[in-house]
Amino acid sequence: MDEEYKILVADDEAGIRDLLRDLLSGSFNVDTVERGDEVLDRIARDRHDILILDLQLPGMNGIDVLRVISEKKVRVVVVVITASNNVETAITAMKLGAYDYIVKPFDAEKFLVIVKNIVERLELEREVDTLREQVGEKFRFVNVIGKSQAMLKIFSTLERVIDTDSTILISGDSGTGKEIIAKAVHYNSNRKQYPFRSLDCSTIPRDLIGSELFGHEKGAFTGAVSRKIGKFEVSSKGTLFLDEIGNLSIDMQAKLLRVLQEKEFERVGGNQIIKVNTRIVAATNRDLRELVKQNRFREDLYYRLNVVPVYLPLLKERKEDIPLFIDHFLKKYNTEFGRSLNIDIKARMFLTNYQWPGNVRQLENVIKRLVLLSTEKVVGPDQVKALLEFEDPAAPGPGDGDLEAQGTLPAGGDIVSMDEMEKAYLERALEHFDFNISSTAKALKISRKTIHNKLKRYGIVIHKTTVV
Amino acid sequence: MEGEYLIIERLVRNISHEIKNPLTAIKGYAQLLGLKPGDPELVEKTRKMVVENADLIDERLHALYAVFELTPGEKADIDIAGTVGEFVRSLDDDIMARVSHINPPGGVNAVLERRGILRALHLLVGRFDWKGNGGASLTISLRETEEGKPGLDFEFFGVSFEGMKGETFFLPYSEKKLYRGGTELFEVFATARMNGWRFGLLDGGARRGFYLVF
Ligand SMILES: Nc1ncnc2c1ncn2[C@@H]1O[C@H](COP(=O)(O)OP(=O)(O)OP(=O)(O)O)[C@@H](O)[C@H]1O
Ligand SMILES: [Mg+2]
Repeated sequence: MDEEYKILVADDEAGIRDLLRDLLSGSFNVDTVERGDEVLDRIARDRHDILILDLQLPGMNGIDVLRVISEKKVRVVVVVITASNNVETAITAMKLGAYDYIVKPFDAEKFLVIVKNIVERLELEREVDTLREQVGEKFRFVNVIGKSQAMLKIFSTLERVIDTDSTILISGDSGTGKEIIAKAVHYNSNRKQYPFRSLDCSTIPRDLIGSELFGHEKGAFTGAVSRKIGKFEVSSKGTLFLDEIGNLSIDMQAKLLRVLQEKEFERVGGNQIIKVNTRIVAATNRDLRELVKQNRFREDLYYRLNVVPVYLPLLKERKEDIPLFIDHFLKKYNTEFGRSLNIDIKARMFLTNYQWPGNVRQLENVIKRLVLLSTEKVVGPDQVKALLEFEDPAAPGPGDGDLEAQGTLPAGGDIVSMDEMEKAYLERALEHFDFNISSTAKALKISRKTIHNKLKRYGIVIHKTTVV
Repeated sequence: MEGEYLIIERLVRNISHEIKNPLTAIKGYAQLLGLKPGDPELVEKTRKMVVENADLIDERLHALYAVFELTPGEKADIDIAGTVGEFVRSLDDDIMARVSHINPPGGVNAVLERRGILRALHLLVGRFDWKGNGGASLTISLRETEEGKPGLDFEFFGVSFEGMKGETFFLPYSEKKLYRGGTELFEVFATARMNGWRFGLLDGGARRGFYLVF
C-alpha cells in the first residue's frame, strides 16, 4: 500500500478514530474528523482519496454527506461504517455510491482487504490519469498517422461517429494500429474525462473473463474474498476496449450481447442490476465473419458490434504512410533517447518498400533500435538492411522496387543488443517447436503470455499459424 | 401495543448501537495486536484502549440506569422566572449571548423541587451542543397553561429537529445532533416523571423545541 494515498476517517467516537488511524497509518496518510459537517471542507482542502464514513455524525449525518459527495461528484471512494444493522440505510448508502458498507464491530483484517481493493482500483484510475495527462495531446487524431486513402477514410468515418455511443469494430492484422485507434476514439470523444479500460480477450483465462468484465460479489466463488468492480462498471460513461474479441467464449458472447442490448448486467454471484453506459470498441485480427460461419461467433453479436466497421490494411498496402511513420517515430525516439539521428534517402526508400510482416509495430521497433544502436548521425541503407535481416531473416525481402536490397549484406556493425539476442533465440526456439507457443513456453520456462508479449515486442510474426 | 413495541425496538437499537462503538475499538485493537505482534508501543496502546473503552461501555450503561436511582429533593415555594434568570446568568458568556428568556410581568411562583428544575435547565440548555450548532439560539419563555399550571417553553432557532418524533425523541441515544452525550433528553424525561411534570415537543414537533409543564 501506498503512503501517498490519503484517507479521511469521519467518526464521532474517539475509540474508532484511534483504531482506524492505528490500523491504517503504517500504509496511509490518515486524517480524522469528528463532525459530519466538516467532512466536505476537509476533503476539498486536502483531497483525500478514501473516506471512511460513520453514519451517525453530529452536524451532518453520513447519508447527507454521501448525498453531497454524489451530487457534486466529489472524487473520493467512500466506505461506510456503522453500528446499525439497518438494511435500508445500507442500500441507501450503496445507491448513493458508497463503495462498501461494513457493520461494527468489524473484522480488522477484512477491513484492510476492502481498503486494499480500493487502492488497487485507485491505482488503475491513476494509471489512466497519468496516461491521459501524458497523452492528452498524443491521442489527438493528428497523432494517428496516415494520409493514405484507407487511413483518410477511417478518419472521416470516426469523426462522424466520435461523439455518439456507437460500437466500433476494428479489424486488422497484428501491429496495424488497432489499439491506438481505440484510444484515439476515446480521447477525442466527449467521454474523454471518464475512464478508458481495455481487456485482451486472448490473454485472460476464460473463466476469469466474466469477473474481469462484470466484477463479482464477495464469495461469488472460491477466492472472491471481496467485491470486485468489473471493467464495464469502471468504464461506465467511458470506453471499454475489447481486444481480440474473436477469442471470447460462446457464453461470454451471450453475456456481452445482453449488456450491449440492455445496458445492464449483474456482477458474478450478485443479483443487483447494474446500469452502465459504456462505449464498446472491439478489435480483432481474425475474420469474424468466418468465425460466424463456423458457429464460433454469434451472428447477432457480430452485427451488434459491427455498427461502425473500421478496417486497417496491412502496412505494405498503404506505403504512402510509411514516410510519415518514419519521421514520426524518428522524432519520438530521438526525443526519448536524446539523440538526433537521421535516415538517408536510400534507407528511406528501402524502408518504404519493405514488406513489414509485423506492420507498424515492426517499423516502430526498427526505428527505435536504429536510434538506440546507431553510432553515426545519419543511417544509410546498409545498416537498415542488416538490422532487418537480423530481425527476420525468413521474412520476404523488400519489394520489387529495390533490386539492390535483395542481396545479403554483412551487418553494419558488431553491436548486438540483449534484445536482439533474445529475439533471435526466441525465434530459433519457436522454429524448433514448429511454432507451437505452449511447447516453446514450456521449454523456455516462461508463460505463454510472456511469449506473446515478446512476440509483440519484437514484431515477430508466426508464419505457420497453428489452429487454436 | 404496536406503539410500545416500536419504542422498545428503538430503545434496543439505540443502545446496541452505542455499545458497539467501544466494542469495535476493543475488538479492533485485539486484532491489530495479532497483525503486529510484539510491538511494545502497540501493546501499551491496546492495554489503554481496552480499559478506556470498557469504561466507556460501563459509563454508557450507567447513564441508562442512573436515572432510576434519582430521588426527589425538597420542595419549596420558588420564583420560576428568577430561577431561570439565575441559571442563564451562570452560563458561559458566549452561550449566554445566544439565550434569551421572556417572563410574564409579575413572575410566577410555585411549590417545586428547585434541584429538579435546575437539573432540567442544565441538561436542556447547558448540555446543548452550542459549538456544533453554531447558528443556534434559544428562547426560554415562562407561561401558564390552560390547566393553570406554570410551564417553560424552550424554542430553538437555527437548528434542525428533523427526525424527532413525539413518542421517541427522549429515548437514550436517539439524538446526537443537538446533544452530544445522547442521554440528556432521557434524563430530563426521568426527572420530569419523578416530579410529575410533563416533558414534550413544542406543538407536537411543529415548532423546534421542548416544553416542561410543572
Ligand atoms: N496510425 C498510427 N499512427 C501512429 N502510430 C501508430 C499507428 N498505427 C500503429 N501505430 C503504433 O504501432 C504500434 C502498434 O500499434 P497497436 O498496438 O495499436 O497495434 P494493434 O493492431 O493493436 O496490434 P496487435 O494486434 O498486435 O495488438 C504502437 O506503438 C502504435 O503506437
Ligand atoms: Mg493490440
